[in-house]
Amino acid sequence: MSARREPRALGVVLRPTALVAALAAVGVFHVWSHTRVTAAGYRLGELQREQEALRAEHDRLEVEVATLRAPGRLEAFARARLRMAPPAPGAVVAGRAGEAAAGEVGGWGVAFHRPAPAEPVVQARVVALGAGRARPPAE
Amino acid sequence: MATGKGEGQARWIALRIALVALLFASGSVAVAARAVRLQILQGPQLARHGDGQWRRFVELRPRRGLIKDRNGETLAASADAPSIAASPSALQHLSRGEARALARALALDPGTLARKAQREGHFVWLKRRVAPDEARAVEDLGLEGVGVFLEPRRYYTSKNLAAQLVGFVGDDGEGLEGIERAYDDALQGGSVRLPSLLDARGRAVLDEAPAADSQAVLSGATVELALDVGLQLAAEQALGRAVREAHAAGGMLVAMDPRTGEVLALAHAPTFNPNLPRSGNLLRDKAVLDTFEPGSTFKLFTVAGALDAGVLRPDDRFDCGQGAYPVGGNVIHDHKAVGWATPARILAESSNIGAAKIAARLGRDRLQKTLLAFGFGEKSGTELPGEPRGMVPLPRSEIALATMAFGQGVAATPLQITSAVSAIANGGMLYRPILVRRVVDATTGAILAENDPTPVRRAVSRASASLITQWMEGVVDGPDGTGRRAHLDGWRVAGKTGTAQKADPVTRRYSVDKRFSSFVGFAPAEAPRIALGVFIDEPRGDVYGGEVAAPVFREVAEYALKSLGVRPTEAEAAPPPAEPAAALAEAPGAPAIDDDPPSRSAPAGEVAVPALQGLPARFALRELEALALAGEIQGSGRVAAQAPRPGEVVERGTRVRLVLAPRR
Repeated sequence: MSARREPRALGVVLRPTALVAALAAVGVFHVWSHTRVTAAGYRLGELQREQEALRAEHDRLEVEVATLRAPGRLEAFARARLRMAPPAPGAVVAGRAGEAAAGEVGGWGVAFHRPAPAEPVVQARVVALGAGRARPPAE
Repeated sequence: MATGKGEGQARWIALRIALVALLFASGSVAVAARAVRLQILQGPQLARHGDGQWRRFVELRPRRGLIKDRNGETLAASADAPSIAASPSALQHLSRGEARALARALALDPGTLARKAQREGHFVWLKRRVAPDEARAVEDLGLEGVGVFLEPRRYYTSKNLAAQLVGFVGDDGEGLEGIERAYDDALQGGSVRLPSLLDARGRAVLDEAPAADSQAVLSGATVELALDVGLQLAAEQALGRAVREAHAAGGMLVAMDPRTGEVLALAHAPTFNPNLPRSGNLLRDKAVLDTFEPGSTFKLFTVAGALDAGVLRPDDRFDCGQGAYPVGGNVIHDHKAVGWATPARILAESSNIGAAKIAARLGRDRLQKTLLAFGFGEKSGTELPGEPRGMVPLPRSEIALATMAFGQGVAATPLQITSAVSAIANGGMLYRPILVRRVVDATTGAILAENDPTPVRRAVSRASASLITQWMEGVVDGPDGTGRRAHLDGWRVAGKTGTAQKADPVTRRYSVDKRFSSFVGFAPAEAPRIALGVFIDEPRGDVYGGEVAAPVFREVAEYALKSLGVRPTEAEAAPPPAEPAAALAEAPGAPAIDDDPPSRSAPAGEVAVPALQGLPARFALRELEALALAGEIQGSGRVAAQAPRPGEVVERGTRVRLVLAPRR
């Protein structure tokens, strides 16, 4: 008779145990997911601060580059350190060598006039007006 | 007997089990009831209470946008700079030695620190936006209650360059002058708040990542000016030298592309460094915001009106006498006796008497109408706040009409004057001046706003503009021209000098010695690419525009034409303006031989191809149509190349091929 009662006793114990175990698992998962969210929140905060720091460094470098490229600074450097000077009036004439540099554009069999940058002058900067950035001579 | 005892024990056990079960059940019910009360009944209130304790918002600071020139060179940018702050009570608790060390680190007076310590509240700035060395020195002191905070600071990386145009910001980063003020909303950027929690150590724990577009919201837009920094530097240097040599009160220079109205340079002398503390009159963009009596440059517009009204012909002659001409109880003087002169000579030698007689033919209504057509008396239409209209009154007397003809008794800004001369340069069309080319989203590069060339109205007919251009060449190249110091080797220059008397506010009359001297012009005359106005305020010694302003024009125009790659004019020097066969300055009264007025550069039936590079397609086609030339387009965007080349003389009806490319 005791052997028949054992399977019934096991069933009585196992079902509640399984129920409690399931509830406990849900509870553990709930807590675990909250801790993961919190950990992700900390990581987001760290990344946000990193991004801000990188952005600040980028801005600082941008300012530094712009300061180094300032035309007045480049001209002063060219004069003082490189001993360069602007060409005398009439010493440089734009267009003659630039004519070869302008080259042909398009396929209509005619030579187009594309204003080329002035010849390299002994000057800190040559900037093309009206056409965006200075264009390199055509190959 | 044993069985009865066993039953009793079993009942007692059962009772105890029931009691314990009841106890547990009661406990569970109590816990459940409490949970229901806290979570459901008081839940929202408690959540709010908790939020107040640990909910914070992380504020991401907006970043002010860049200001760049037309080629992408940065003129203004922002970066973080350290600022030092403290709590007043902490300052009060510093020892004397610590307070002295702090004052020394910040280069502050100890008295200033003491005053700040007396302030109410929990926070006071000690010094804002300091150098990194100063911040490090303060951090090294390790003082309680004194901290370093990062704040955005505006840097003007080219220092003085275009300072009056770019403007500057205040301590809180708001635009106060110039483009910084006009485009403050676009440059500012927006702030972004991120919800977060504060943990026990005061660290922020973010609830969510920033939105994908948060960077776009934070970043202010980039403002691209029409300015070219290379030309701006050349202009400021030349102008500064001229102002110093003339011991003048100041100077202004405006450089424009006459085909589009874009302002390529806007120079002032003296100038200032917006990175340093600043005050006073130097800050003002006088070229756009201040008006002056222009003087003889206005003769161009008087003559233009007379030509268009049909009351003036090129071979007309006017008796300019011996340099003095009575008008309504006053006397008008010329700087030298001119005698009998044609309109060309009146301009070349800048005869006030000649101009007054031309104005008398034109009449006061038509003269005023002409000046209004050239944009005087109305705002130029730039974005800068406070732009004046200038003054073009209807002359009420003979003398007022006479003086208005040569630019006295009217008021205009240097920008208005240069814009009007640009209209003559491009064949008669007045364009709105463009200071800012476009506003661009810093993150995506999308164009938020763009200023295309905007024609305002036709100020003068093409034929009259062509004729006036020829006569303006005579000012520079003629034997008695007043603007010979503006002559350029290799390019034909058209120009006009001006030397206006300035009103003395004390005596309320014209000053005996103060002048406003100028030279306005454009080059190359046959296909203008650059129009310049140079204005010197109160030069001393040699005061004439042809002496103090014309050399500046020459220097800056030469730089501009070389930079643009404009080929020198290969033809021989321009022929002097056509004069009647009868000699000049001879016996009065002899009428001139009836010559046809010379055409601009070509016989009838032929025309010089205009310079179209950089223009949008529709403007280029309009220019060609006006000259009876056909346009053929390849590509899209703006004109990058053309055939035949600018200045080449071709038959009307010739096809001009245009290669377009997108604007960078």
